[in-house]
Amino acid sequence: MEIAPGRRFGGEPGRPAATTCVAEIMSTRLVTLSAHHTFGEAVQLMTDSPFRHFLVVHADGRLAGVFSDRDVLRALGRTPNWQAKNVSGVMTHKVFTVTPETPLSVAAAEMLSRHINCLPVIGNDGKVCGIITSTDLLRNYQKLQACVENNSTEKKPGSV
Amino acid sequence: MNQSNRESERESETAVLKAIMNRRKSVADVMTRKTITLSPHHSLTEVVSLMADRHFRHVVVVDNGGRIVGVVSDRDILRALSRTSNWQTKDVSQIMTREPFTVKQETPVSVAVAKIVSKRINCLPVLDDEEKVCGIVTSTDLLKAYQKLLESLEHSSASS
Repeated sequence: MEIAPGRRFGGEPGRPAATTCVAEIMSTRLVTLSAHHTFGEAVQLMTDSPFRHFLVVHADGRLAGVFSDRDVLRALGRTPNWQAKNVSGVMTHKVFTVTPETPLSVAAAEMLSRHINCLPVIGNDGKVCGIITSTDLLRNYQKLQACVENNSTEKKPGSV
Repeated sequence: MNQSNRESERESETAVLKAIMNRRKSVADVMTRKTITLSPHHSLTEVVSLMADRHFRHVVVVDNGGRIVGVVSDRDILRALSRTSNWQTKDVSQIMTREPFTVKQETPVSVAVAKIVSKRINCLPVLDDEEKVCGIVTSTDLLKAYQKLLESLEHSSASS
């Protein structure tokens, strides 16, 4: 389990771009797991951290799968011997991914239609370079909404 | 690009944004009216099997009079499962979040998004004037609204 030193991409302060791509709001601070970690270790990590999604990566940095809180819930509900499982036995193997250039509208649409909350971001070299979650998108939505509200009340009082 | 051009571009962008965003102003425009409710004495096992195969993650807990007493989320379940060995014997009242944050139908969407993001929650029960549950607004509902907004913005910038 490792936490990569991260940075966040931000738009102009106080003025987020209305239509942007994944690179601008994705999180590059990743908590990754290996496929051989035990189910117990992964659940403990999830309970201790604010994240709900962990990328499972191969030694060379390529994506192996995603381990989410939903996977845990499903495993607990269905398998009686869940203590004996490891991460690869529970994680989602077929993962839909995006690139840093994917428009946000596409990322949001894919999350909604697939009923998922995170999309790993894969760079040109085929390695994981970030993650974008529904929370990242909502944070941007909130900024956008607040920005418009501020503009309408501060900039042009009395006029429409 | 000179300063005044940039200013006027910003203003027209803001005007477009305002027009589009005014369509979805309050929680009533984006909330889910169909909610799953349980009473406090339902067992944890029942909640787990209810959620395991479906696409919802939140259940509102109400008393006999229909008043809200709590919310059970998949996170609550996860926490209970990882901490207690005898989770099969627990009931809803032991793991639910009591006195959850709630909103009204008239609450602005931006306020609802801000609450969800800052409190790190995924749902807000919506109460009517008699303090009864009339719906729920989840991060998915808000993401849907955001996605539609992004699409309209892309359309408007493509056509202008």
